[in-house]
Amino acid sequence: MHPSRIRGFLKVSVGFILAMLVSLPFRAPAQEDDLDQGKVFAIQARDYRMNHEFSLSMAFLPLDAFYKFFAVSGHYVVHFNDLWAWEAIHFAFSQYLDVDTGLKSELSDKWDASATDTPRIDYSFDTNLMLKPLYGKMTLFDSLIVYMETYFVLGVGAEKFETAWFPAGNVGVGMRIFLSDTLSLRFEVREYVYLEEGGVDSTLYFGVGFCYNAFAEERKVKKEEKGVKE
Amino acid sequence: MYSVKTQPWFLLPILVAVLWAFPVPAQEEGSEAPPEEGEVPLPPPPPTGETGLSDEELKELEGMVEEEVRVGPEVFDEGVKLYYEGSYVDAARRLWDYLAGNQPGADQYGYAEYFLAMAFDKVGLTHAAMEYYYNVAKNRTKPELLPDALQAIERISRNHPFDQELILKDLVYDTGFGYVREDLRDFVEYYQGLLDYRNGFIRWGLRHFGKLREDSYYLYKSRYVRAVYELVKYNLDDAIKTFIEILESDIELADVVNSTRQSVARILFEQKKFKEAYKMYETIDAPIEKQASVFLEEAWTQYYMKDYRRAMGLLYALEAPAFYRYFNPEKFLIKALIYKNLCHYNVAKDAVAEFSHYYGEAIDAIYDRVDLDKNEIILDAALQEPALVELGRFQRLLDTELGMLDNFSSAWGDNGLQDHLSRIYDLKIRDANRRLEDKLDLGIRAVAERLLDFDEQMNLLEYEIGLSIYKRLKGAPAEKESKKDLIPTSGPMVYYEFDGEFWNDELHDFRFFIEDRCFSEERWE
Repeated sequence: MHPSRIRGFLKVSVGFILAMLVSLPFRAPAQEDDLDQGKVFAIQARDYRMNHEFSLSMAFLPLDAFYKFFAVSGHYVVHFNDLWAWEAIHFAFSQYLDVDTGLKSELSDKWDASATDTPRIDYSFDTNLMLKPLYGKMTLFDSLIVYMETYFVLGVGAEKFETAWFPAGNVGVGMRIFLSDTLSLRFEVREYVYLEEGGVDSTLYFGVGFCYNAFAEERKVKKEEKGVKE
Repeated sequence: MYSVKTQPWFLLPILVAVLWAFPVPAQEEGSEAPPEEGEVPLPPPPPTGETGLSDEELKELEGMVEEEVRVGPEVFDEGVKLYYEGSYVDAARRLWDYLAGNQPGADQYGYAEYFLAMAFDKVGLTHAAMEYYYNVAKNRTKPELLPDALQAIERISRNHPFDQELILKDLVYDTGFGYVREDLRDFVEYYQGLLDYRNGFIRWGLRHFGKLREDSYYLYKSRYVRAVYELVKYNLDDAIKTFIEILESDIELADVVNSTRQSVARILFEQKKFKEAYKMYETIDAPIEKQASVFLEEAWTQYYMKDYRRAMGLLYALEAPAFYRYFNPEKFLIKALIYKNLCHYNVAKDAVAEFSHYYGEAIDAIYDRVDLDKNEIILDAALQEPALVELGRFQRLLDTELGMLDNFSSAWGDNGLQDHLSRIYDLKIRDANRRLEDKLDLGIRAVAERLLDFDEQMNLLEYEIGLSIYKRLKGAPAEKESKKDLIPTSGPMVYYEFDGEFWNDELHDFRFFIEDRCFSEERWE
């Protein structure tokens, strides 16, 4: 991929993350003057807290002009606390699950040109730091409360193409919807930038995964802890 | 004594003379042919104006004439068939045709009333259903329907407001039902006992309660009645013993359990066991819109526990739209007390001013001795008095169901059922209004007295706040060392800053963050 396109992708990715952050309805922290009449907080125990997370995902890698890849991936994340976690391993397998876009045959039929064969991705693995600054709730049809959190990932890894292994870095953003104490649904977007022979290239990754939260009960806020310490 | 009734012979010549002078006019040409053999001749309605009867009376008369027309049992059969096919509106129409066309002694009359009640029940006209179930149970023209009618009455009485005069006083209290099934006997015995308690016949009431089955819903309700009676007599220990009995059983009857929990919490509060009282309040899991009094009582409990943060949080919860009608002058009193105790005197005075803003007009009306039922605040508060709440709910149900009748006009408009039901609902609404008005005076008086009491307390508090400000000005300001409240960036507890949007799941979790501005006590000494 041309370096200018890579810069474009990076800009889009960073812009996407920034736009998400800027669009949040931030409220200024309380000033001392505001406290004259007091401030009211609803203080609630987190209903859902992650501990050891195992996941199985389906992913879509759309930005190759010749092939659209589908992938199956899995990951294990250890959650240190409610803010930080380490995605110890994230593995995506995409070999033989490609979808031909028809571009090659179109070039050949209409223009009598044969495209340079681009290497196809086989699999990738990476390890990431995860930051989870947003946790909240939404109402579904004004009747059901749905809890969610948003996270950002930053990490390093490698991507294996048909030809060779390439080192890669990645950045991503995702949203988790809690289904129960132990089950959750993750939607995420990642941008992998890898160093190939003679330059850099990138892979965009959209994933949706079912996650299992092992040992969830260890993190459950106990009844006596729910009373806020004064 | 002279009487024309005993000696009518002298009138005969006069009658003969009159009949002779006014012969029956001959039939005109082209007028109606005489009825054929076998046809029942219907008397033609007299022209309006000539009879001297009003339109209403004429309609009544027409109704009587219609009643004389017999409608065959096939109409009843059709109504029952339609009912079982799920066409409740059409079933009601045909069953009404049968009832309107037959006398109460007709063969299927009792069954027709029962099926009509069930059809009304199915389409959501609970009061109309109750009226017909009442007929079936009271008249017992078909005694075999009594258990089913009573069962339906019991079910509706649990889930909807109903006419307590009609069902409880006229039917349950005044009727000897003979042998009825155990579960229905519980219903009957409980309400007979309850009304005995209300009328002061405690021994009779106890006898009825004694017949209730173990672990039945009504047994626990009866225990609740007994405990409340002990409470009224201020036998707190006996009352709490009975309440605890209810709580220790493994019943899953939310209304009984929650009322019991609240009563126990109130007793514990009276006994100054605030911590236990608060714990008991926290176990109440009634729907949030029914918890206004729980929130207020919890706030008082927390106030006495000196947990002002929590007490104020509960007061904020009372601002939620779910409680907008709740008559709650105490809120301003607790608010002002909390601010005063934290030495925020200006906002404490604001809370007093807020009280005047909300209730000033009503208090002025009381002082001016104007008609208090014209004042919206007082009227609304009076309607929240326990004696009026149930009646008010019943009146609203009648209004709603009367409005629903329009939905059935196409099916019931032309056979008179809609008019019949409109008349039933109109009469009952008038009756409910009359009963409400009877009780309203007492309610208004109670509200007015409470308001005056709070007004006095607020005035006193305002004076005390002024005094505290004066004391502070005289003393050297030295702020107490207080721990600053920090909101963590992350952790097991989530802090949702309140921005005016109430979420039901948060109402119990509001905390109020404010610094304590009082000087150290040593300073004053």
